[in-house]
Amino acid sequence: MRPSTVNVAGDERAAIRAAATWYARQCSGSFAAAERAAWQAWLTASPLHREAWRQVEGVCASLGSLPGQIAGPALRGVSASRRQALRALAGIAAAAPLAWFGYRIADAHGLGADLRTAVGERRTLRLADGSSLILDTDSAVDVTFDARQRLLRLRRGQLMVTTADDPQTRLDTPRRPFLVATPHGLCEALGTRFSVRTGDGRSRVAVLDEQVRVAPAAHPARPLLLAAGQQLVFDDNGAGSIEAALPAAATWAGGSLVAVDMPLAELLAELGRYRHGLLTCHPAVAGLLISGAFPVDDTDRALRLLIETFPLQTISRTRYWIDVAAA
Amino acid sequence: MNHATTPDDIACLYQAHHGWLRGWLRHKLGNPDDAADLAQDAFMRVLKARNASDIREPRNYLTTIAKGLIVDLFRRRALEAEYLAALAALPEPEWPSPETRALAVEALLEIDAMLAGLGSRVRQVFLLAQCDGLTYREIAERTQLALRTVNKYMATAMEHCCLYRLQHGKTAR
Repeated sequence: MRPSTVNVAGDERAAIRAAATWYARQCSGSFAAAERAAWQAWLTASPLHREAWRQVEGVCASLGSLPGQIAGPALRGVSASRRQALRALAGIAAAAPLAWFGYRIADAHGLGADLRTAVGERRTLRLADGSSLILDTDSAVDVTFDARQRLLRLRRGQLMVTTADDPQTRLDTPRRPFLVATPHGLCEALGTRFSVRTGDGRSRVAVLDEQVRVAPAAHPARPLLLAAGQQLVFDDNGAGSIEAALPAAATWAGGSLVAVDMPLAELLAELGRYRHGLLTCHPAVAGLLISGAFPVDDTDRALRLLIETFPLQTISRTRYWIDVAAA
Repeated sequence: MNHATTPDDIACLYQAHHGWLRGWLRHKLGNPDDAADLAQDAFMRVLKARNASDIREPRNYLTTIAKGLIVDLFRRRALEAEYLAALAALPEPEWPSPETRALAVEALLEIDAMLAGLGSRVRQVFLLAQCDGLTYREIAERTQLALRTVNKYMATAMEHCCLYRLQHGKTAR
């Protein structure tokens, strides 16, 4: 229901419309003295006007209840999420059969350019077709672009792709699919931005914009369609169920691990990917639910934040082994 | 229309449909913990509404409630994640207490609800001016809109927000 259709008396509405127009003028940055005088005359002309102006002030106060540099990005970011939630509600769409299912990895090494990152490193690369690739810590990927396909083979670690329109597409040639293969299956980009990781015997794809089609290696003829805001874990036995994507699946590319009610053990396993040595936690606190944003480029700082905020302490067992326990 | 709802009505409803609703939610969410929480919340709503004995199509009714709860849950999670990410992006990130964080997320939810009916470009213009403090000229450059359009969108957004607050009983401060 749109609020504007609900019952507000005509003259009250007119006053609010006028107040909103004055507000827009005031924000313009060129509200001259003459205009200010006209506005004040309008204000004093009627109690309805003053009441309407108080509403304007109420809206500003509500928006000002948080610092602008927090509220702005947070509210901008979330408008996309709402659409995702509604799409998730629409149910898990049955995927169309894959036209591209006959994909071949032409040559495991031949044309492939090997890209790697070290532990703690994160690299952004531009691919030959203009797509951007972000490689997370301790990752390896082969790039094979040929006449038929644009294929990334993720050997380990995590990547995020923002695809570009294929510059080679002409009227007489079909669009080359953009594919990411892991040992557990194949993902085809049907849109722009998604994140794939592989390791520990499984792969995960999280879709940030548009859609991705996933064909698990175990059931290649039964692909699944993921929408923005959804993720899927798949392994040698097939795919799990489609879930809401975790915030962390997107935020790593910006250098932070955003956790919302993430068990401590899981959080430490994530942070551990960005540092050398062993990061463990005491079983008694393994299930502690953590929310926060942790810098992955400085895991020492991340650990400090953790123990400052939660009733935890770190114990250095050896130089390369840190254990987290209850304070 | 009103039979008094008795504890038995709720118990019957719960026994007959709780397991089913939890399964339905689990299928939608893919997460058993969230499914259990939301199923519980859905029955709490029924309990509070005191209309259990009037419900003719319990599963339809429960899924309608549950869908609303899913949207709320996603919105809250998304806002909380965006809030934390915005905090982390500050030059000198501060670490809020759990109370501060909860209040901030509540405030964001309220603002987000107020902005909900706005078109995406109107919303963008309004946030750039109101939260980021950009001038109309800067907004026009960034969004490729005419200055006059920026001015119009600002008025549209404010009018919408005022009406929203009036209709949701927010008293002017």
